[in-house]
Amino acid sequence: MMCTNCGQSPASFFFTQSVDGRETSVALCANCAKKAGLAGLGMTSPLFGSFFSANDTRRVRRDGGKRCPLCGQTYDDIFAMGKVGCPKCYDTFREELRDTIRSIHGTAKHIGRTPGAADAAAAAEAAMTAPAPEKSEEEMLRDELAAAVEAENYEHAAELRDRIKALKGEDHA
Amino acid sequence: MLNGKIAPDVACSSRVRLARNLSDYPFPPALDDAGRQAILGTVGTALDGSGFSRDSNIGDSLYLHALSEQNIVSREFADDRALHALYTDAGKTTSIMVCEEDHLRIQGFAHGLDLDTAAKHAFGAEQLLDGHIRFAFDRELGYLTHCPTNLGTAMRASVMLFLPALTMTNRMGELKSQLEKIGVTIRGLYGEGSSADAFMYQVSNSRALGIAESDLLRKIDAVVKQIAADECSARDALFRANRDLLTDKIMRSLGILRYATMLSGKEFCDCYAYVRLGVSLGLVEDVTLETLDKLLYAAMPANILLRGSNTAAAKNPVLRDKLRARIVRGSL
Repeated sequence: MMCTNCGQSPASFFFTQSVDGRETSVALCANCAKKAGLAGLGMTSPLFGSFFSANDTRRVRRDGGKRCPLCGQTYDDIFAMGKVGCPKCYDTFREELRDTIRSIHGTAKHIGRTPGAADAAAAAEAAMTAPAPEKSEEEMLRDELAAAVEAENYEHAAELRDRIKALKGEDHA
Repeated sequence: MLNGKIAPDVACSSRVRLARNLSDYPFPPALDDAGRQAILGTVGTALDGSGFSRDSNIGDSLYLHALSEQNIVSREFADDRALHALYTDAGKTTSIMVCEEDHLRIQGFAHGLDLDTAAKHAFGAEQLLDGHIRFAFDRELGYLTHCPTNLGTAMRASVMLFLPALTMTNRMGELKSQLEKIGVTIRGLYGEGSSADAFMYQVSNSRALGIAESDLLRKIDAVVKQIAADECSARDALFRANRDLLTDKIMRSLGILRYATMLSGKEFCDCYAYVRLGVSLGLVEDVTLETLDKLLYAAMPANILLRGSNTAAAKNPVLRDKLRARIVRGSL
């Protein structure tokens, strides 16, 4: 099957998306998937519940049968439930979950509080009353990119990704 | 800066919820009774002498559902029959659900648009626990939660909004899609999947990873202020264009609430919304927003039954509607 976006290359990413209640099958080639920010994702939709849709034709066993040492779950169990068994699962299946988490949140890097803050109440108050830091253009573009992926506006997402690359002076080719 | 004043008839209340888990136990859905008991013991010890007390009434399902109607506990927590616990402070500004979807769900509450105060309550309780409990945390993913959508700060900041004019002018669909694009969700009174009874909505962040708590609070605060400004303009325009019709609808609604002897939940919500709008527009002068805030919860099914102590009404909708009408008449 050819890519439903460019029609030029064989499709290697298949998924079903729901738009206004109507389900549409989408097949993308690696290049279009990459442009849409989907390449390398374990799943395809920005909402976690949808990741585990029975319609996901790319569902494959990715965990090699390993089990979480604390709760005994496999990645397939997590996949089937759409939820994680225990805190240790995040470490056990870190690689398998990373791309999925990134596509839900637009990032996989925590910013903010950590446990054991010296005086959390004071810290929270200071943080809330501090003047809002100016966001860099790149940060704003990244926010917009995350929103575009969540809204499944992949064309816009690809444009934003290119603008971020350009900003960082990366090679476009 | 947070806490800029907006009309309290738009933003009714603010809530900040933190999800926290203990690192050495499965999340509650996969946790057996022994594990739940161990967590309850650890939390009990941590909160001993802290000013928080364990609510001993939550074994009563009606009581628990009445709390869920007031958003003090979640609907899921009220429906769950497994071993769990609830702690509240004396002023009922903070609640801690133990063994909900996560081991701990800490909620801070405040009136109007005041996420700053709600956050202080929630973080205050979290700080009490932080010294005693090793929270599940990952440098990359932040606070670890049962549902990956809550990872990161594991914080949800939400504000309850009364949006009659935006609803009546059919602008909620457009608003919802605009908010989705910036990672903000708008839902009905009781969150996910609930309807917008009485034109009441909850606005909250949909993502919690990669954005610091303070920025998240600022973001929701700014979004709410913008929505409130739009709602106020829409109210002015609506009233200018439909003064007679709207006034009649509001006064008829007030009449029904004051004199009806039976009120279904739906009829109550419909009339309530118009009376609240009437108070906002200055058309109803002898009813306060404070009275209406209390009435909204008092007229919900579990709260009616709890207050009436009438178990027969639990299975008899007619009796329940009579009790609701009596409570409403008594308030207005």
